[in-house]
Amino acid sequence: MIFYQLFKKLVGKVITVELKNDLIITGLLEKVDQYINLQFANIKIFEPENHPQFASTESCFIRGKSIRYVFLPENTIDNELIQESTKEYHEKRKQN
Amino acid sequence: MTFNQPLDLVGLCLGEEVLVKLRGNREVQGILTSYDEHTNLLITKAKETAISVTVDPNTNEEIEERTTRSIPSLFVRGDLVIIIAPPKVKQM
Repeated sequence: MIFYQLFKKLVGKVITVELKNDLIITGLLEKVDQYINLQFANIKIFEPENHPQFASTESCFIRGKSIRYVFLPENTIDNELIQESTKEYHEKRKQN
Repeated sequence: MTFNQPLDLVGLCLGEEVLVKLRGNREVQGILTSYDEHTNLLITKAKETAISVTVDPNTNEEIEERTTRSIPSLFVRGDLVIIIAPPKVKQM
């Protein structure tokens, strides 16, 4: 749940995703779900010469399982707040 | 903190510098800012290293090549994580 909340805060922002097949996509995050599946608009592919099949693709759905990394913009999250939320999240999990 | 499960050890590292070994010969070093039960991670001030090992045809030595990237705020998908550890301590 904790990363789902984090990604919900990123909706409407431009982020970059690196997939497990080494594809790197930058775009406007439109939607996210509990599996961290992502929906993007206005995407740009890194090194498009290597991936000509996406030349005309403007939006995409990325299955969460296929993600390796998400590069988040520096100032979008309050690190201390997230650390606190993480501690509380795990304490609640242990109680259940 | 009560320690019932291995993930509690990861909780100890919150806010600290960690070294994470990932599948695909990669490592990430940085500050552990968040984690969950899948070991999805949020690492800030991250350095990601891709390691490739090639064998020199002449000497048959193993050459390790490391390529590093700096990423201010990095989400790492949990299914890639092998080890989460405090960073290497230099020997005295």
